Amino acid sequence: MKLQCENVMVRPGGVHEDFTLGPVNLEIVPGLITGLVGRNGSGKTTLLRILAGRLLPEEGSVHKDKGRVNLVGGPMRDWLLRKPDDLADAVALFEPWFDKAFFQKQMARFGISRENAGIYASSGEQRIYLLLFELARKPDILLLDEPTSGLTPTARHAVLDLLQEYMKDENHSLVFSTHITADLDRIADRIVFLDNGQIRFDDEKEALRERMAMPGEELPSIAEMMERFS
Amino acid sequence: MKLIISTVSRLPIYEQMENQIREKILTGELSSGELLPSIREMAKECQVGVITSKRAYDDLCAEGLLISRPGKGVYVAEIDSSYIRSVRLSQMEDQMKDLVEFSKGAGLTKEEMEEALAECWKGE
Repeated sequence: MKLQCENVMVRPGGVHEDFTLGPVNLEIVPGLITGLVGRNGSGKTTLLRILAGRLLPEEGSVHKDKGRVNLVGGPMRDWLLRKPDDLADAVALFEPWFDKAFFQKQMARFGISRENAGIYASSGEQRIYLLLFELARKPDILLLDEPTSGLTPTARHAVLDLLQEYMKDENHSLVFSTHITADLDRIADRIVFLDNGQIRFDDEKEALRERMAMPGEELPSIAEMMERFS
Repeated sequence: MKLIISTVSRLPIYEQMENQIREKILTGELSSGELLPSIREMAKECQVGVITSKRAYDDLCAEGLLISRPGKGVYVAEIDSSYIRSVRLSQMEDQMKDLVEFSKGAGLTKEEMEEALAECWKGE
């Protein structure tokens, strides 16, 4: 499905009073993992919220085909404190496509209790729980805000594996924001670098690395390319 | 199929994949007619991007080592290894011609080139 920002501009306000995102032009390409990278405060979360339709742009427009766009990230909501199984049943009433079997199987795989995941789980487990929950809702486009931060190396690895499993369906798209770019050095297809509310580069990852290579040196990592561009 | 991929390398990831798949074909570890994992399965198994694994397959198809059958998958082509070696040899000669031309233009001798070659070969 298609999802596109055209000349989008927004001042989210709040604690970041003088921050402006945009103008941003971005099209999410189906079938690919897009890595959205940038320092803290560069506008990644704001852009994801716009893509998810949770924040309206002040200028420009967002074009979206029919389909499901789900965002994982942000603070834990109150309703998540309920028993995961009860929550799954409740959501399944409104979204009959909700894949409860997948949800239960994956919760078990990650060793997260379905009795009390909301209340007693560690913050890492809560993150995974939210991700599994959104995956079970079968989105066409999944937007992830810092999905691996705060996870142990083992859990990170398992999450990346899960995301690649999701991407086996060529109609799925993933946008993955992170300030720790090592997670994207391997699996990302495309890199979008946000700096102070502006897109500094946006291209296919390996092509970008080759273009920015120094003669006789190893190809640059995403972090090194970001450094060179800012 | 397990390939060893490094993000700290002078070679882009698709080229690392190409080299290892090519080697598997040349050494017979992959045999003619064998079906390879799909682009997306390959991406997951090797933990790389989809564009990357597609590029590796496309390049090897262009080289004639793999054959893509639309709707069916990607297979190892029917080629005998002596033919492959001769193709690789002529590719190497092409690159060598460039090097010789460069060396002559830069006033370097054949001995210096041979010395440099021996050094590079060891380095690998």
